[in-house]
Amino acid sequence: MQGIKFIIGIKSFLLRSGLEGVINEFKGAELLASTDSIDALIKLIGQERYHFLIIDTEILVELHGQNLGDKSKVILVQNNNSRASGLPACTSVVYINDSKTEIVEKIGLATKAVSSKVYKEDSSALSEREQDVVRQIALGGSNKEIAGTLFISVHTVMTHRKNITKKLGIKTVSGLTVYAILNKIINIGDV
Amino acid sequence: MIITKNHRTAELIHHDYSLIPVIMRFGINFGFGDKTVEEVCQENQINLDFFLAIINAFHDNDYFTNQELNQFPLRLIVEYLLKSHKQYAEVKIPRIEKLIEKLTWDENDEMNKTLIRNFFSQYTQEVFEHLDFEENNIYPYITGIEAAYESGEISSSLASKIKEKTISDYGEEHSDIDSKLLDLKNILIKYLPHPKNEDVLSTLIAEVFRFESDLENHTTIENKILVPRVLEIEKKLLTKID
Repeated sequence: MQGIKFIIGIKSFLLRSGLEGVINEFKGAELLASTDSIDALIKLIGQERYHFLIIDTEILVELHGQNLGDKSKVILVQNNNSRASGLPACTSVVYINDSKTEIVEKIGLATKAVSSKVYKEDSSALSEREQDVVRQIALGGSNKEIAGTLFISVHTVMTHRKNITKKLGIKTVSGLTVYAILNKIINIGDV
Repeated sequence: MIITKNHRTAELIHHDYSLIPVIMRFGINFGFGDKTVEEVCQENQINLDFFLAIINAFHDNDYFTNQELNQFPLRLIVEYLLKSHKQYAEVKIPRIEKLIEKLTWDENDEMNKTLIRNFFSQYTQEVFEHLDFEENNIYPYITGIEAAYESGEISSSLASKIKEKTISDYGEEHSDIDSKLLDLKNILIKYLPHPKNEDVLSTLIAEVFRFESDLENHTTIENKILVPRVLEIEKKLLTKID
């Protein structure tokens, strides 16, 4: 669920709080906004870069005809009763009587396609070039020195560093040094 | 749950064991039987309202937005923060160090241990530098301006310190220390080869997480309560100086 962004638009306070709780429990999911106001929601849909919109039928009715955005991004929350007629069908539907497990499963399923895409963007193996950069960082090189040694620009070094941190979850020089030694990118004697 | 003076102290811990270090910090010892929070505070000469405010803030982070903590003198908050410093130095950090020493591996035992030990000691050195800085500069300054505000007497050295704006830079100080702790967690969880005594590593990781969340609360008290109050007092004092 890393990096997946949600917006919630639900009238009922109880339902809204419940879904906020569910989303907040997904590790790495990000709740951009949660509102009961249709106007606020329309604004959010226009402005925010979200992956999923969680709304109830009442909001769906009000939004109908307005710009709902991409329908495949909608997760609908509704009563167990059959769908109100004349509304667009949503692929993901959560019923208010669903158990927590069912809700988590449904949202998980809906986000799967997006997740694998987001996940691919920061798959955690370091490229060879990134390993070169980690080695130089561990040896104590400044950005400028690393750029000189590897024949790349300082800007490129900084981009590599940013990606390395994102992939490994390690940011500081001493942390990267420990990583480099544990992964035999350098020898402990070299430091 | 909002904790009140009528709750039994034992109940607090059953309800949220992460409050244990906070309770210890106030000098309350176990064995409190069925005594209520009020009784225990009375016995230990602890300011009841302040205790409740701190304990609730730790228990529920939303409570920090509450105005409750704003009613206490800054020196009371500073005194509490100093007690936390002491607990970090004497209990929490040594506990983590001991766990690191206990780790053993079949292969590369010495190297792995040295790496973690050195990394953690670099981290704690930064932590101690930061705590020392607070204890020697920030906290005395805060109690100083509070006293000046209350008495209306501002010494010239204090006046020039107010103009230096020490406090507004101070809130941003924590970031590198936080990154190191995050790195430590990822190294332990993701990259360290698994030791023979896996149980020690899992205790170590849990201990690091507990330390981190305690530090986070500590920082929140500083940034959300202390700093805004100090800035407010500074502003009022500055109008008097000019």
